[in-house]
This record gives sequence, C-alpha cells and structure tokens, in this order.
Amino acid sequence: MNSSKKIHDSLIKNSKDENVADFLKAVFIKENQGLSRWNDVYDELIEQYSEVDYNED
Amino acid sequence: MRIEEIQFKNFRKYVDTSIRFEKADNDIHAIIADNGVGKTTFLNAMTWCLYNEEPKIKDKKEALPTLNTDVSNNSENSKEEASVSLIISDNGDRIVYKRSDIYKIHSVNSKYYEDYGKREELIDQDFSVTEIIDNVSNIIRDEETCNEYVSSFIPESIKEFYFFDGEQLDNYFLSSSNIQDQVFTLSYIFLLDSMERRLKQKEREFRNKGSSNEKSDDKLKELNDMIDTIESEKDRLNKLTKAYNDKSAELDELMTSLGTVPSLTKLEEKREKKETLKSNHEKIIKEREKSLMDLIIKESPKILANKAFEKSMELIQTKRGQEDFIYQIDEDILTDSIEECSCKVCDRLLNDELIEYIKDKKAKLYLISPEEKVLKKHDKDFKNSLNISKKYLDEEKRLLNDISTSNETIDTLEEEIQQAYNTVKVHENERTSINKRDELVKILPEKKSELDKLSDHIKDLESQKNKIEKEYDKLCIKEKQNLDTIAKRRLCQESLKVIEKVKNDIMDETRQSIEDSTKSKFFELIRKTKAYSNVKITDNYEVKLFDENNRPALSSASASEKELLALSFTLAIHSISGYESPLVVDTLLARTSGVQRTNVAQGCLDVSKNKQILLFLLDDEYTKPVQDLFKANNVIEYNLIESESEKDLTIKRV
Repeated sequence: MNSSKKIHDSLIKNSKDENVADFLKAVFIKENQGLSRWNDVYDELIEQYSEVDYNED
Repeated sequence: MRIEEIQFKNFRKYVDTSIRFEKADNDIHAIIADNGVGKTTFLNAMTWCLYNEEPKIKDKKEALPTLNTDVSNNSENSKEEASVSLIISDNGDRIVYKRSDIYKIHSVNSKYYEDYGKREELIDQDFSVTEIIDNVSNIIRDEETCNEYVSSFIPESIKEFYFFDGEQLDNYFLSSSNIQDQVFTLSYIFLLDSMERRLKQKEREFRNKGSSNEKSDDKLKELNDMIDTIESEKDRLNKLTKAYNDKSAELDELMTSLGTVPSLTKLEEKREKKETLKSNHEKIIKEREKSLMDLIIKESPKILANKAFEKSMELIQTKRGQEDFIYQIDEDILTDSIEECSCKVCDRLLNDELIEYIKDKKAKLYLISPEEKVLKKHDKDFKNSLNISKKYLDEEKRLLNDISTSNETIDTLEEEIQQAYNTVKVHENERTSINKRDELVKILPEKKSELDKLSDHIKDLESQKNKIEKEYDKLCIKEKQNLDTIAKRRLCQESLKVIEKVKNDIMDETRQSIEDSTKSKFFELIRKTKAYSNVKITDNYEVKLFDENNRPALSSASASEKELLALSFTLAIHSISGYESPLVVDTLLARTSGVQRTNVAQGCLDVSKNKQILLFLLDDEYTKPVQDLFKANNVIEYNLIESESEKDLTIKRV
C-alpha cells in the first residue's frame, strides 16, 4: 500500500467522529494536491464540517 | 521500471554514443572505467537529465559547459545541442526523458569570442518527456507535468537512495537527520506536519475569537498562557529527549570501542589509596621493629635465660623420676609419736586430736632431699621465669608476625599499584574517551529521571489546561454567537488529536518496516550467520548493528559489512517508497578486498534478480574474482573507451 493511502486510511480509522474523519480526509486530499491559499481552503473546510451544538450551555 | 537505454549527444565527452541495457536472468550491468575516463560524467549525465543537476561538480562556474568542447570549437553551425536521453521501460510502455542545452555558436571573429574567449553561448534549455504507449508517442513539454513524470520514476527528494555513492559510505550512517527527512517525505509525514501546523494556527485563531467580555478575556489569557507553557515544555522535552538519545548512542559507541577498559580516574584513586595503605604498613613495620629492638634490649637476659630455665626444669623432672635424691628426713619419729601418744621431739603427751593431726601430716609427708629442697625452692622461680620469658617470646613472635604480615601486604599492594600504573599507561591515549564514557554512565540515569519528571509535569499542565479550557468554554457559551467559533475550535482540536496519533503510528510503522527489511536483507547478503545478531533503526533513523552478544558493533564492522548494511538499508527505503526504480551504484567495491569484495559483488547479484542495478566500477575494483563471478552469472560488462584525442568517449559492450 503506498504511503499516501496509508495515511488517508489511518486518518479515517483513528477518528472517533465520522465528521472529523471526513474533514481530515478532505484536508489531506487538498494538502496532497498542494495548497497556495491554505488559509482560505482551511476556513472553507472548517466552516463546512464544524457542527454547532445549539443546546450546549 | 528499468532503464532500457541512455543516449548521449555532445554531452561533455559523450559526443555520439549510447548504451543499451538488456535484461537476462539478472538485471545487473557493470560499467568499468578508470579514474578520469568518464565514469563521473556518465553518472552526472543521468541526474542532469532527470533533475538538471550534476552533483559531482562542486562549482558550476569552474566547470566546462555541457557541450563538448571539440564540437563547439569545430562547429560550422550556428547552433549546437548537448543532450542526454533516458529511455525507461515500464511493463511494455516506454517513457523517454530528454534534456537538452542549446548553444549558439559564435564565430572566432565575433565580438563574443573576443570578449569571452569561447564560441559557445548557452541560450536555452529544453526538457521533455515522451510517453510511448502501443507505439504511439506523446511528447509532453509542460514543466509541471514533466516533473511529475520524473517524480513517478525517482522523486528528487529521495534520489540519494537510488544513486548510491560508495565513496560517501563513511558519511552514510552519520547523516541520520537527512535520512529521517527523506523518509518523512517518502511516507508523507511532511503532509501531516503541515496539516498539524495549520490546524494549530486555526485553533488559536478560533480560541482568541470566542472571548467577548472581561471575565472571558482573563480566562482566555490564562488559557493561552497555559497552552504556551505546555508548548514550550514539550519543545524542551523533545530537545532533552533528542539530547538523551544522542548521548545514549554515543555511550553505546564508546562501550563498544572501549570494551572492558576500566575507568582510569577510579583506578588512579584506588592506586592512591593503596599507596597510603602501603605507607601505613611501612609505618607499622618501623614501629614494630622499634618495639622489637626495645624488647630485645630490655628483656634479652630473660629471653636468653629461657633455654637454661627449660633445661633446668627438665633436669629436675629427670632427677625426680630417677629418684636420685637422698632423703634425710626420718619418718619413724612421727610413727613412734603416734604409737606412743607422745611427741618424740618435745615429749609432750598427745591427745586424740593431735594424734589425728600428726597422722594426717604423716600421710601428706613426702621425702625430699636437701638438693631437691633447694631445687624445689627454685622450681617456682624457674616456672615464673619460664612464664615471663614465654611472655616475652610471645611478644617477640607477635611483633615479628606483624612485621611479616605488613611486608606481605606491602608486596601485594606494590604489585597492585604497579598493575594500576601499567593499565593507566597502556590506555592513556584513550583517557578522553574513557572519561567521556564514565561521565555518560553517571549522568544518563539522571537525565532519564529528568525526562520522566518533565513528562509527568507536562501531563499535569495538560490536566490544568483542560480545566481552564472548560471554564473558558462555559464563559463563552453564555454568548450564543460564540457557539459557532467553539464548534470550529473543537473540530480543530479533535483533528489535531487524530493527526498526532496517526503521525506517531505511521512513523513507528515506517521505521519498523525499514528496520525489518534492512535486517532481513542484511542477513541474507552477509552470509555470516553468527557474527551479528541484530540490526536496529532508532527513532531518529540511526542504523545500529549488534554482535552475537548484542553489543553495538557498527564501528568495528568491516568495510564490506558496512557496504552491505548500507545497501540493505537503501533497498529497505526503496521498498517503503513504492518506487521499484533501478539502483545506480558508484564505486561500491573500492573499500573492500579479497573475499569481502566478492561477497559484496555476490550481494549485488542477488539483489539484481528483482531489481535493475547499474554498477560503476574502477579497473582496480574489478579484480579477477569479481570478474569470474560476474562472467559465471552472465553479467553484461561495458567499457568506457577514450579516443586518442581524449576529447570523446565511446561505450563498448564487452
């Protein structure tokens, strides 16, 4: 198995939360492709995958 | 993937030549040339083609142009090209990497020639990749795409593992941090590092955004300070851990090289103590000798008389035994006195009591002669004198004993002191190393303890941080608009935990995989089953070799053993990289000789069953046993042949 796939699978396996797993998958794919505007990409993905708990108090 | 052919055109000494590598039972190709003929140029040509680099040229400004000088001097064209093409085959398909330097050729009458003293002027460089699939060619000139093709063959970041330089072997095992970086590149850990760094930044950003009042501001400050403290302590822990590991490794090396050589400082301390002890015994001897002298002077008449006393006592006993003494006392007086109940001396009447008294005395009476009486009187004196002289003799014996014991002790101490001197002298030139070893043996346990304490301290701090964070979140949650920021922060935090775990797992797994592969390959190649027991790769990618008693043995390994270990490690990197590209090895055998050289050559043959190997050898390395071995295994040989003018080379298959 090549190294990139190994990391990809390991990120999913070690995430207890499916949402976190999806987020990390997405970030890893972007990083693998090479990021020139990383801050914007990270903001977008964090916005997409963060889950607000409105009942929290 | 394998190199099928290399074509040279006007590239330095390689004017118009090519080399084709055909695959047989093995895929090993020996290119033989002496120093200065063109071996280095050949190697540089390959890396120049792929990466535009000629690593063997230290200073490009001092080097000749890539264009062959004869060509540039004699050309009648306005342009010339120096190029190298690498033709790679991959499961029936072909990829051609071609790099060209394009030169404008000025006339000898030109201003350029007048200014620079040369005709050639580099005006452009071209790099292309041609894909040949089912005999259909597709030329790619886009730089990014071409570089991707190069990376799919041998990525530049790991090229040192594919273009192996046997002359750099001494540095090979020293450049562990370089190896670690390259392994991290191969295993994509650098991507995880990047993700970690960026997520930490985002997390901090969201953390700082959440606060909206003074209370939460204070709590945020407390939290940020705590996080900074933890980061700083973790950095310190990493540095101390690295320093500890480096020192441990240094100690291992020293233990191997010094073996059982004792601590010279401790030896010298012991020697000094023994010298003090020896002095003390010498003092004791002096004192005893004085006491003995005093004893002899004071009591010698008694000591000398002792013999006479003993003789006298013997005589008395003998005389007694022989009943030589004449007895004068008349016993009858007492008998008559008892019978007549009156004393025969004073005529007094004796009562019963007196009679019993006389009877009692008569029973105890023994005859004694005047001589014996005198002797009896002196008997006691004799006995006393004997006791006294015995006492003095005992004292004399004791003193002599003490002197003898001290002398024996001094002899032993002198021997031990001399031994200590000799040991120190023999190992004097290793004193620095020995002191270093002793210092490390002393401080390493303390350092370990320091690390453990720091580790525990960090755990405490993290616990405190979690508490502060919870308090901060409680304060932030009071503002609904902060919920979004909190959610983003938590996503970053959870992701960071996962990344840390994955990174550690991948690092461990990669290192373990390289270790297992290196070990397996090394023991397969070395053919010496008992000399070594283990190969380990440390966390910072230092290669360690252990002997049959599990002691570090890399420093004492032979050159060929190190070659085989480096080769095994390189092949292990190949296997984790996923790139099954050829291995190009320069001057592998120069540092070995005899049987060891043949072993390394056989090792390469073994590897070449599954991997293409191009072996560049000097004439001196290519000894008869190696030649015979290669010939027996149908290894194809090539010679680099210089022309008479020494300006160009051809490659001839032998």
